Amino acid sequence: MAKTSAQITTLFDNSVLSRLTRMRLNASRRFTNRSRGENLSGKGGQSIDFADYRNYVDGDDIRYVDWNIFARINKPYIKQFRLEEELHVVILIDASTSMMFDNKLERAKAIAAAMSVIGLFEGEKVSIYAANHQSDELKLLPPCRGRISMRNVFAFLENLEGGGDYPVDRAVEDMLKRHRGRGVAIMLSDFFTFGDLNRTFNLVHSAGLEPFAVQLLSPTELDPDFSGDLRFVDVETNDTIDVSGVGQLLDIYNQHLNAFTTQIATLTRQRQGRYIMLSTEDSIESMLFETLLRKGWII
Amino acid sequence: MTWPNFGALGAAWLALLFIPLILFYFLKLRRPRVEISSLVLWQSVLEDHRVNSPFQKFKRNLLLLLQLLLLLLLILAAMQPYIPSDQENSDYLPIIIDNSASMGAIDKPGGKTRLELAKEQIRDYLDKQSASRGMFTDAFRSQKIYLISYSTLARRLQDFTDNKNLLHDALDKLKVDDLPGDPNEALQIVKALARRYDFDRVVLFSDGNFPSRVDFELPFNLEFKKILPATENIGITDLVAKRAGPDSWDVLTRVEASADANVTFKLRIFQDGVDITADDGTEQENLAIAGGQARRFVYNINADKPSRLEFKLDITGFDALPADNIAYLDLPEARPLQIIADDDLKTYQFALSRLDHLKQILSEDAEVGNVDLIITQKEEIDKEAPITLHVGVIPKDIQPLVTMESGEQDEIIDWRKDHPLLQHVILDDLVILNKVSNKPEVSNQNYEQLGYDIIAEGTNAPLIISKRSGLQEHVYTLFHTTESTLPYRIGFPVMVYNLVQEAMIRSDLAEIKGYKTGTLPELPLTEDAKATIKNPDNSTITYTADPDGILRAIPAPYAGLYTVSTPDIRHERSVSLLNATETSLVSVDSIQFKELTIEAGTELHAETHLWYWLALGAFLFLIIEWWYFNRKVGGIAE
Repeated sequence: MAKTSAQITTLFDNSVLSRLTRMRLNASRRFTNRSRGENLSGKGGQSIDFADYRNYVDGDDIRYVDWNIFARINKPYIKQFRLEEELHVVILIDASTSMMFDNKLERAKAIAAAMSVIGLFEGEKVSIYAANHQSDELKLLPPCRGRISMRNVFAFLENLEGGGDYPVDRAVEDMLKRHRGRGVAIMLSDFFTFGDLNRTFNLVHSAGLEPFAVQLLSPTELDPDFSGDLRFVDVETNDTIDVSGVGQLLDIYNQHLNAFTTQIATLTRQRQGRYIMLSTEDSIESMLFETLLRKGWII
Repeated sequence: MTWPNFGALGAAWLALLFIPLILFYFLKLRRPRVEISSLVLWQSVLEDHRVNSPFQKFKRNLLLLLQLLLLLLLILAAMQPYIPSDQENSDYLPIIIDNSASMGAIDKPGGKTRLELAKEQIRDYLDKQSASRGMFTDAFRSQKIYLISYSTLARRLQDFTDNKNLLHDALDKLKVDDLPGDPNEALQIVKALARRYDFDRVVLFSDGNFPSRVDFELPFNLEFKKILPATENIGITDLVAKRAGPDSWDVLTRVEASADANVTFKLRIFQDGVDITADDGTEQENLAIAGGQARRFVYNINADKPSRLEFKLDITGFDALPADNIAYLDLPEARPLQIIADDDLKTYQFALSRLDHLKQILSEDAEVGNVDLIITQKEEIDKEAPITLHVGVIPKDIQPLVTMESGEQDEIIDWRKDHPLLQHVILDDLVILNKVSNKPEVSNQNYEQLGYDIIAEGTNAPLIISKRSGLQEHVYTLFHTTESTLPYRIGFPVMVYNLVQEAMIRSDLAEIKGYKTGTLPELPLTEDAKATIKNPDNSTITYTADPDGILRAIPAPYAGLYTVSTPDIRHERSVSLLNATETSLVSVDSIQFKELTIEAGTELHAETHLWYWLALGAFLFLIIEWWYFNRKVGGIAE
């Protein structure tokens, strides 16, 4: 989208932006964080709002053990108090060559911008990583907060170019090496990798981040229309594969695609995360205010 | 086990085509390239597909393998593989074909003749023969075939050639002769060929209806390919007319049946086209004849003028050979023997008068048309007869060879007892009052050189000689019989009787036999006269009479009517098969030669060619491959 004199960003319309400023990211868990958030509790303070019990693990502060329950059932539980703490929203954009098909990267950047706006307007800390070439480091928009950081976010995303062979699983791993803080990890990718996504999501969960996986797929990937004997070329690796009678294999392809998306959904769900698959055929408005809103990602 | 050979081994170089085929295959493997975001899903799809479909493992290279196999089939076909026959195939092969009468027999109504079956086998062999030999021979050679047919005589059909068109044409023209078969002359021809051409194998096609013993020494291997003979046949095997009265003949006919024949028949007789079988016009009843048996029939037929008799068998049931179902007899007029006898030869006149009444004795100056016998004291007479006896005449051309010694006696010391004139005549102790002697250095050879046959010899010279002049025979007694004791011998009337019988035979007044196929009887024309002969199949041919005015050796291979025409005259002669051996259809399973017995075989085995099966297989393979790889596979599966 061309930036007109009135448009704040080329990533989406001002109307979308306006609407996003009134929305909140609906993370399913709150993590205690030493930084200040919008409704921060402050250092050393505790909220009186009881939230929940959890199992006692080694290292927990025994001051928070509920002794009544222990006396009753002889098993320690830790009280959790709801703290309105600052949420670190870390966004990873897969900007490899595969994401350059059918506006996947454009959609990814728009969603990244939308999530960033929501986070910033909520007073959360937002950082953005972008993965292009394996040989290069991840591009980074350092953690920022507040509305004044919005333009930096837009500038970073608008100037982000696609291309490269960075596998998403490795990009997540490299991101976690640099990232500090708990919160939400929004991964925008097609997740087409030969790597082990199970490990990827384990790492995300271990880092205290709630995985929000947004799988962006093009119509060609969702419903390919190939036939005959073809030689498929991987645009990232330049590897090739000869397939005979492609048309006869589309059923199997669809089965594998469904299994693949189901796998990612399962991986995120098992780690108390969220997963959604979006088609680049849909507009950004539809993605944000129909799909993500309906799914409860943003409220 | 017979291993296949290759008729065109040089075609193996086509195997080089495997190289471009493989190259093109892999070039063709440059499929349309489609860039996709990632191979992750497609790789797992293919893995899944390969695991669940083991055949897919090979499908990648299946097309190449199929095309290599297709090319291999085509190369093998081009190399002309064949399974050799079980016989050695030399470069030259004479084939002898029996085309005698029995080869015209069929084994069922509408069936093929034995000759047609033989031709089929030969044609099949010709077609299957290799057109070329391997690359290690001198050149591309084919087996050359020589075709000979035989019945009574042998005939060359085609010289050695590998031109199948010529061989097929020669076979097409070969027809059955209504003649008995004897392979001897054909074998003689082949023996002569063996001196010029290198072959050690000759093939004979026949139904085996020929003498089981052949007086011949085989210098080569003879393969007797026996055509299954037909078995059910009856036919007319003999036809003779004997003088029965002043104007009639007794016609005797014999009908024989082959061993397996089981039919009834009617014997119909036509005289100049008119059915004379039943005088009262009633329908003739069916006659029966047992297998292997013969029946004779005698009919008295009036012949006050010359006529042609036709005997025809109307057979109820199957008859294998039609050629012997009809026989002809040219019946002359039943007239008395016309004899001209010198009035002064009283002894002869007296002896003649004592013979039967079938004669008429005339004087030398009588005006008469047909003269059958002349007895004269002159060397030349203005009449002609089939036989003339010159009594006491020394021919002018003999006179320089002999001397006559009056007063010296002579006797006959030797004579030809088998001569028709002297049968049952004893000439021992005959007293001849004048002696005829050869002049010095004259021998019997001088007489023979002048064309005379010596019938009786005296002490110093021949005393009875004969000479043929055309169809006439002149017999000379160099001594006058009245100047000898011959008229007083019992042998004299016997000699006269023999003379009369011979005259009757030569004039066809005593016994007539049906002419058999082979050659026409000699016909008197004029010197060097050109005659057109029309055959029973309406073909014509022209022959020239010899210097004696006799038309001789006219081939008559087919039964039926032959017409001999000149601008001035026209003769008709009918010939028939009349052969018991051919009618019997009996066949032998082996031929006994002088030192060897050849057993009958069956088919003539040629090489079995495989190239067309390979080519057909390659073609079908191509069709299947085309169908398999071009069936609809594109598009999104429903």
